[in-house]
Amino acid sequence: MKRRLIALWAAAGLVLALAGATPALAEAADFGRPSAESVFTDARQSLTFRQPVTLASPASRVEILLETPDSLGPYVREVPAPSGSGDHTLVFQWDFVEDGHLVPNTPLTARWRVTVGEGDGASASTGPPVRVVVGDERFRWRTKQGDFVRLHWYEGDEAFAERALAIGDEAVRKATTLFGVKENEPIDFFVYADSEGLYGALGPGTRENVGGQAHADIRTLFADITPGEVNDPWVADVVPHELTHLVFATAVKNDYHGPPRWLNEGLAVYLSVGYAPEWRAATEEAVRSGRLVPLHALVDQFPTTPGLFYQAYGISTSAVDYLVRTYGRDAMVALVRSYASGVSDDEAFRSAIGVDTAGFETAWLVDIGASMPERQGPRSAPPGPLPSDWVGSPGPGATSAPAGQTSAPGGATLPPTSEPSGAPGSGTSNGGDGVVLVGAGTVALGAVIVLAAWAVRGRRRTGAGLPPPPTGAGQGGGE
Amino acid sequence: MRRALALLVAASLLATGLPFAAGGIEGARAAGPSTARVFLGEPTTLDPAASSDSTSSGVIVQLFERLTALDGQLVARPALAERWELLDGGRRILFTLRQGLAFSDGTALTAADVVRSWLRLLDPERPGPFATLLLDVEGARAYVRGESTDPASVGLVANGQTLEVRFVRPAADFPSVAASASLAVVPPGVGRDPGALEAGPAFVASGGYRLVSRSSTELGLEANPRYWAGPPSIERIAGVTSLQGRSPVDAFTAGDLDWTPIASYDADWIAYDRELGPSLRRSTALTVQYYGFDTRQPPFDDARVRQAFARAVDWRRIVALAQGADATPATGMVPVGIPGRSDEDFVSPFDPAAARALLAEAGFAGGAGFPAVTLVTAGTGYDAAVIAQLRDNLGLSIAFEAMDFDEYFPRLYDDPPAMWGLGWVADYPAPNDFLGVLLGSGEANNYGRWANPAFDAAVARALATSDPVAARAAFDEAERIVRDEAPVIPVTYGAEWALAREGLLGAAENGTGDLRLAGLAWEGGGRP
Repeated sequence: MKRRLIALWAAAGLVLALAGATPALAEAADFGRPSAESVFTDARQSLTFRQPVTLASPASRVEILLETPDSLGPYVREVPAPSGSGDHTLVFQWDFVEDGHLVPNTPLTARWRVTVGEGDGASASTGPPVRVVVGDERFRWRTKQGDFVRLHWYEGDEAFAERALAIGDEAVRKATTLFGVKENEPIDFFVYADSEGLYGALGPGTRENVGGQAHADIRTLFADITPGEVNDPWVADVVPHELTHLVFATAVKNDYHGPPRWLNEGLAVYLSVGYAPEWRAATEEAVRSGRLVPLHALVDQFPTTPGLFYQAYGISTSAVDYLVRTYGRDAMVALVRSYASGVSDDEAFRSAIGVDTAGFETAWLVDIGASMPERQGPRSAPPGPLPSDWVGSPGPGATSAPAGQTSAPGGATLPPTSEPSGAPGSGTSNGGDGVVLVGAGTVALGAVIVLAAWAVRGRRRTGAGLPPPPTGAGQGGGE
Repeated sequence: MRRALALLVAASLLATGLPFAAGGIEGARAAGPSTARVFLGEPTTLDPAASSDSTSSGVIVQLFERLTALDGQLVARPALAERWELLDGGRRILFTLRQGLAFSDGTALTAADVVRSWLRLLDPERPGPFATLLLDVEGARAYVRGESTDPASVGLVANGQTLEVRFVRPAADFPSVAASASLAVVPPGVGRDPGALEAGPAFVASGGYRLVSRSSTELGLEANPRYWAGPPSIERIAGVTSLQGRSPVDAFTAGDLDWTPIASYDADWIAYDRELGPSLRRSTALTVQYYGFDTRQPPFDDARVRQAFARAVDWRRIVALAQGADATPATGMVPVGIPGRSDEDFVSPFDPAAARALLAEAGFAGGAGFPAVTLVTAGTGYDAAVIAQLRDNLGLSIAFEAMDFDEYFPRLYDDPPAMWGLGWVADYPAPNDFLGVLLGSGEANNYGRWANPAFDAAVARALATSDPVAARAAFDEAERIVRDEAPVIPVTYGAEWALAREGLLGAAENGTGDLRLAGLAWEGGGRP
């Protein structure tokens, strides 16, 4: 025991010694002042980061750590290490085409991390932060600050800006009051004067009927409103709709679970225009045609086919309307707020209205005169042509034939022996010599699943940014 | 590390996309019925020996055939090999190739081509990412390490149409292993001629299709008339590699794709859509997502710390919250669908009090003195929840970093983070692919470098028995050790979703993420 204790103390001493050595290693990289530049023009969209550094010894790894204010942690990219020691300028360029689109107003904080040495002797130093915000230099922006909203626009006069700002402020005021949340930081509202400008900002893949998009993660709303449209009714619908999403995101923020999409979208419509005739008609048409998509199928993603997409907004608004009519507005607010504690949908509904989501859905269906629709899929794939020797059950040797047995074409079995045949993966024994066969492979590998890339390039998909519904005016609506 | 696919689809499809390149396939589709447009994704390589991702392997298996192939029921079926015999209790396997095999250019394909192709994985100068597939072959380890320079020292003996594979231990499931894309047979030019993998009329295939054209968004595949199973039914296939931002559902709806993987969140509503619902396909993915620790370094060299992490997080709940009704929380490392899998629950119970006690026992009461730890992943969907529960239940502040997978995966090999997350999908359907391969002492894919003799012994017992019950019992014991030692924590299993045009026959993945294009056909012969 004594010797063991000594060994442990010795090990501890070694750890302390190494820890003491770390600062010296860390000084192997002496960072200068970093810089960052955003370019967002029609010709080029990129971010360029530079970091002067003096290396006492060659770097084994250089990384840039990019972080947005709300991110769980930095997104890390490796950058080729400069050769040798001495003075260098580290450079990283984020190309919006190659590396992923970033919408304007995306704030990024970058730090550089330089590692010297290898293995247990490696030591990393992290440089000072540099902040950059993705700009949009295609236009000469003007800015106007409201109570909650900071408006950015480039066409139209002061009256246009005042009107747009008033719509935005009023929407945020209503939503924050309703949900009982505070928006301490301004919400940026970028108004583009045409769809080309908007789509350039939102990036490739933007659907052609998107008129506005909210990005809760960067507290920014983008919309396409020409100066002549600012008094059009749809502006007073779409802007509150999108801003409601931003406030909703604040109200439900948690680390575990987001509310169902139908609730998010339904509330945004309900609070901006109410259960308006066009949405009521969409719901009624869904019921009448028997094409209704149930709420539990609208939890994550809305249908992308045009008819069902609009129907989904109608259904969602109908459900919220039913929720408020049946349980009251306070229950609706309680439901929304409960999500902030990371509860499941069923838990949230039970605590707010006393029934789970299935119970709510059943009651809502009764209310709109519909029954639960039948699933149309998934269905089994019809079989295709198979090689002639693949038809039928595989023979005992197809995957793990006992010694001496042969897997013949078509899984044909050779004359039976006294040895058991092996099911796939189960293995069989060679009774003759007692040597045991392998029950499972001994050398094969599995495969790594690549999950959806996180971080900056994924933010558009995971951020709120949900398109608005169509409007009665038929303009500027979402998808 | 192959088969990426379904979960990946959301990222790759949404991140990419323009309409399809002009020419080739589009014109062919207009000209005749035997065409199809299938989303394959952008392969990083077409070289089987260099392949390490599922997208690449999914393309490779269309171009280059293997000795065997897994069918829809995950059974190894004869492909280039018409049969195989297990000799000496599985220590030798004799593959007999089909008669008259040829590459697409008419050159005879023999067992020597198989050996040449497989030895490329063992090239000591440039070992393939999945050289491990062959490391139980006699002499393979010495050869790949450069200790032997004589290819004949490797237990791969070609003799005309037969190939004898000699193993250092019984390997009865090697016929399933031989279905791996990494073991596909390439023509002699691959590896010697840089242009051998270029698309064009000179492309030589051993698989169902030749690569005749390639653009930034599409691979043009043409049926190989000399394919061992006969020319595939569909003559030309557009293997779409990029949708440039378009949704795969939109592309399918527009008629621009006949088959495409889709994300589960689209499957929810599609199931109720009259038009798309009948085209919806679901298959069990032989996948497990798990978290792991660098068990060589403090604090995770202490099993009590790892156990504390395992018990401090309500894994089932965070999976259910993240994935909802589609969730399949893991009950062990071996996913549902693997033959020989146990139904026993091998996941540690959620017990924050016990977790805190374990952490205190390890010297970190209340989290005090716990070293800085960073969880690094390529994005798992559970990271925020895990960090939150470790904070709330153990008082620990765990940092987080995210990396792109192409940088993350090499990092796992070379310099594993203290805590990491990964998804693994089977190359072949057996428990060992998730146990011995991922956690065996010294295994290349044991990223946490965990070593446990009792676990190794249990796996060895499982591999050495012919009795399925005994094998399962031994694997169960191995799973229990994993639960108790917690070098990794299994979190969830997966499912794959796809849309297939009605009338397209054979459009089913087999759980490893491969869609066999040579097995596709249009009902009635032509594309509707």
